[in-house]
Amino acid sequence: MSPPVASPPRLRSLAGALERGVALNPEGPALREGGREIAYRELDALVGGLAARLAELGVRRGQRVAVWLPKSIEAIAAMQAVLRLGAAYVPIDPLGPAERVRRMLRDCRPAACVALAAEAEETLAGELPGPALLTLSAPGGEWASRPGRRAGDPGRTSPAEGDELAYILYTSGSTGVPKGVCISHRGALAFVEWAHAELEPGGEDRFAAHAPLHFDLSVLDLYVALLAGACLCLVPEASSRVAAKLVEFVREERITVWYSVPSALILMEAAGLLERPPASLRAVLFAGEPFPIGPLRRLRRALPAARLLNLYGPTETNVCSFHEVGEIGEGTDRPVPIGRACSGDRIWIEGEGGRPLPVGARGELVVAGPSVMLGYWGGPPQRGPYRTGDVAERIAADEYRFVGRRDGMVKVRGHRVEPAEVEATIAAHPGVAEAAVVAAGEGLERRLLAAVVARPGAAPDLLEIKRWCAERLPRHMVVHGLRLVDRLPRNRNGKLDRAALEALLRAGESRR
Amino acid sequence: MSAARGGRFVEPLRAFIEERNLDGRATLSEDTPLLEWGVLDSLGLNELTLFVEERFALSVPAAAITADNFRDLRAIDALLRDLAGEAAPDGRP
Repeated sequence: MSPPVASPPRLRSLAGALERGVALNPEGPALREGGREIAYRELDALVGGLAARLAELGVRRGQRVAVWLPKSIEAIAAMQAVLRLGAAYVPIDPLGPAERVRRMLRDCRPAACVALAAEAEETLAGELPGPALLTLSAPGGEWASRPGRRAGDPGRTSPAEGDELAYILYTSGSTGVPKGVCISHRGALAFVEWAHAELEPGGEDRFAAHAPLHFDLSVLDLYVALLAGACLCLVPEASSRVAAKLVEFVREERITVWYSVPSALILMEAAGLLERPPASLRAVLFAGEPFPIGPLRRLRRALPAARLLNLYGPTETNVCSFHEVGEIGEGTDRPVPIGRACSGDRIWIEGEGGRPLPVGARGELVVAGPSVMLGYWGGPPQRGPYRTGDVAERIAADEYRFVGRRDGMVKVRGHRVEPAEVEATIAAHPGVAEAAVVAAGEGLERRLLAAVVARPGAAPDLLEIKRWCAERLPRHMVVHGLRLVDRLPRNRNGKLDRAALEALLRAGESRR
Repeated sequence: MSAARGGRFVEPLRAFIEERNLDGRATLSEDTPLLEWGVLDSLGLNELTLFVEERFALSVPAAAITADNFRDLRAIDALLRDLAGEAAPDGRP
């Protein structure tokens, strides 16, 4: 009889995840990217070298460092180097338009920016008042440092911990500007350690890193893999868009743990994933939107031995609930529940006036516990429970099902979009007087549609509005359809009538 | 300035992308940046790949699906001519 295995002590800093992986599996592969692979021991040395360079540039505990690199070994090493110094990283969408990158950098005021040399030159020259630059010639290439104009003092370089900031993730903002969600070490670890205990991964596991590094889904892939000394296989940005390529990736990399939005899995099913179900897959996790029951049932049947987990939580709370998908009968037609609380959190639903609601009722889902964010960057601290704005149904004492949103926020193929942010962007176009945006259609067919009142003499077309949006917004916020209207539908108080607008835009869609 | 004219795939690609991704209400030129301007999103790229495989009976290998090969109509045309084993219209390889 073997003695019980003592669970490892809980970490205080997210920087400890890599240390744990190095201790568990020093010669094992930590990261794979295209044809490149790096062992834990080598990754540790790379991180140490980058941390020394950043420290030389004046980065110290409590500061922020923007990491604006393609998804690569170097991007992940830079993030870990920032944590090792006790600073917080801000991953920036490598495909994001320059104007948005500049706006985020002005907002979070990083002490340094890690970027590709060419992009840093083009986008950041003359833009930033002080931050230092650590540039990479290309993935796999050479590093170079350029001090900032603001001299940094050496400061302390011990890892930050507990309630200190670990990273900032920017999400779409209802006020028209992106919001920086601030996650602490404690918050990230509450989720990562829960997921690690749930999945029980080992050094032989191969996690896919499908989500971009600036999306919260990437936190699980990266840190659960590091904690276990497992291998993280990076899906290149270009292939993450084409399902056939993803299917090939899962097979060739012998992925054991996959995590993505349901949309990606549905496209992969259509591209032949289940014709030869990959035997390596032992866990498939999904989050970000309801998984339509038909494709989920097919996945369940094709992978009878794999665990299928529906994770739930806005970026502001990490993952705060989960549901393990069992057998799905033919009669089942509703999406699976978001399940019960995890990550040490408590969840409940509230009605008007904050009343807790009984089983069978619907209300706003509220989250309290360690995984809740510190607050938005530049905003007041988040104190107490976080109100998600999501409406859920309490289907058992401790179990919930997602119903919809209370406010205007929409999800398009798993991506969170505040129509107000898209509207503000389109309205700034010189040919546009007013704009309103809605989401229409379900599942893969869900599209962002804009109604636009043109300025006299102007008639911007869809291509022009797409170009305008693409230069200012992340790609998932570029509208799919456009309708020029004489005026926006408004109710008697002059407020935009969203129901009438949706009817108008959906009617225009029927010709598709 | 005379840009190299695209080959036989340009017109059907243009028609498909305009219909599926621009509601048939805007016109693409051969060098309109399709990914950069958000004309093709991930779903659009998947649909386009399937369309190409069905319409032209060409198999697009996963390794060929790169941002460069799908940059604009001209690049996709060049990729397809390459996959079909055809020379460039101006005689270059």
